[in-house]
Amino acid sequence: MTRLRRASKQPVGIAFLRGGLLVAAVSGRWARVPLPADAVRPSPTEENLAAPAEAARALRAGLRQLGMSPARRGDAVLVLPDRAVHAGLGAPFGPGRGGPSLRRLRAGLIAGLGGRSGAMDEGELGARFRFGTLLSGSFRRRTALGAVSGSRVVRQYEAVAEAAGLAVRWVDAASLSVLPEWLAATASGSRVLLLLHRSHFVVAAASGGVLSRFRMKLRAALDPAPPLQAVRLLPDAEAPVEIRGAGSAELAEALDHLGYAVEAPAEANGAEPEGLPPIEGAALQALLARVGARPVPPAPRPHADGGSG
Amino acid sequence: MAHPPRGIQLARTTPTGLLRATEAVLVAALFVAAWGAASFGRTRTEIAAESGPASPTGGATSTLAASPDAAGAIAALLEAGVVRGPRLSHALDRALAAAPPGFRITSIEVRPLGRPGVVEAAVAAEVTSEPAVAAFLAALSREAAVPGSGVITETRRPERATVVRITFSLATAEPAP
Repeated sequence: MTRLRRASKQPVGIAFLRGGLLVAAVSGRWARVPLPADAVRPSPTEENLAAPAEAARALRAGLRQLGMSPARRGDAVLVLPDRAVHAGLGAPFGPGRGGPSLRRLRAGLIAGLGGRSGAMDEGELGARFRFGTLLSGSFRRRTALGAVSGSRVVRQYEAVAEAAGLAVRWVDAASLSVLPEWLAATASGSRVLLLLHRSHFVVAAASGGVLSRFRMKLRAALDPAPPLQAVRLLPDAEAPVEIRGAGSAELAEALDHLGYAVEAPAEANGAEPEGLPPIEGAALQALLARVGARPVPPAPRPHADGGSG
Repeated sequence: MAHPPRGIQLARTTPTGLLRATEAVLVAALFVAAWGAASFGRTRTEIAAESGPASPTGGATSTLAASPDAAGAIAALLEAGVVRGPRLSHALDRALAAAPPGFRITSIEVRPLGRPGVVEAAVAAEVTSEPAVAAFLAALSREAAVPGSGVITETRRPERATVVRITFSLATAEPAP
C-alpha cells in the first residue's frame, strides 16, 4: 500500500559531551558520534568548541546514522555540558518581588563569572550573556534557579546545529534540564536529587515543589564536600535521595548505610560505556518534550548504524 | 504528578506557529484583563465614551495588542514581575489622557524594551490638526512615566486624516532598589 502521508519533520536532540555528540530522535533512537578528547571544553566564558566545523560534521554523521534526511529534520534542542553555564539559586521571594530578585540573581551570577552587571546596561547585558531561570513554587513563595553563560559560548553550540540545517529551539545544560520534571514529582514532599558526573556533581533539594537548595560542585581532590558530604550537609535528613549518574550504586550503598532513604535507578549506574549516559539521556528527553514532542524512552543501545563512541 | 515548571532557556528564539499564536492570544487577554481590572472605574468607560471620529475634545480609543514576537517576552516580564499590570495600565492611562484635540488614538501596541520596568508603547493616531502631534509629544514629555518619545512614521492620505505612529518608552515599575 502506498503511503500517502509525507514524512513530517521531527525535532532532534543534541547533547555535547566531552568526547563526542549524542544525537537523539523522538523515536527513541540515538547515536553517539566521537570527537577528539579535547573537542568540547566546557566554560561559561571561553570558547568551548575547539573545532566547530568538525562538530558540525559529527552532527551530520549522527543524523545520517539515525536516518534523518534533511527533509525530516525539524528543530533542535541542545543539551550543553553543565560547566558551560554558571548556575545558582536565588533567595526566595514573594508576590511582586520577582523583578528585583531576578536582577539580583543575574547580577550575582555574572559577578561569579568575573563580570560586573552594574556597569552594563540591559542591551549590553543581553548581548554579552544569556540568562535563563527556572521558577518553582507558588505565587506566595517561590525560588528562582538562574543560569548564565556567555553569548559567544552559547552561539558556538547553536552554530553547530545551524550548520547542519537545524533551527535551535531550546538550549539548557544537562543537569538543569532534568530539574523541572523532578520538581514536579516533589510536589507532595521533600526530596533530594544527586546528579553524578565525571568531573563534578549537582545536588538539589526541594520541598512541596519548591527548589530550596542547589549546588554544582567540582569533584576536586581537596573539595571538603564531595557528594556524600554534600547530602549530609542538607538540613532534611529524612528526605529520600535520588541518585543518577556514574557511580550512583556505590554512593547509594554508602548513604543507605547512613540511614538515608535512597533511590538509585539500576539503569542509571552508567557502567556500560556503550549505554546512553543517564543524565544526558534524560535531559534530551526532557528538552524534546519541552518543545512539544512526545519522545519515546531511548533504546538501551545506540542505533545499529551508530558508532559506539 | 504536577505540571513541570518551565525550564531554563538559554536559546534566543521565538516560538513559531501555533504556539506563538496561542501565546499571543493569551498574553493579549492577560493585558486586557489586567488593564480592565485596574482601571475599570475610569479608563474603560471614558475611552469607550470618547471613541469614534476625531473630535474637538481629542477622544481616545484603544486596542491594546502585543505583537506575536513580543508576546512571549511580555509574558516572561509579567511572570518575573518586571512589568506589573496595574502600573502599566496606570502609565498608559496617563499617556492616553495626554491626547489633545485633533489627535485620535486608534491603537496602542506594547512591547518589551529589554530593560526592567520599561516597555515601549507604539501609538497609531489619526491627526486632523498638525500642531496636535507636537502637543501630544509635549504632553508626553511632561509625564514622569515617559522617559522618551518620538514620531516614527507619518502617512498622509488624500481626503482623510493623516496617520502618525509615535513610540514612547513607558516606566511601569518602581526603580530597582
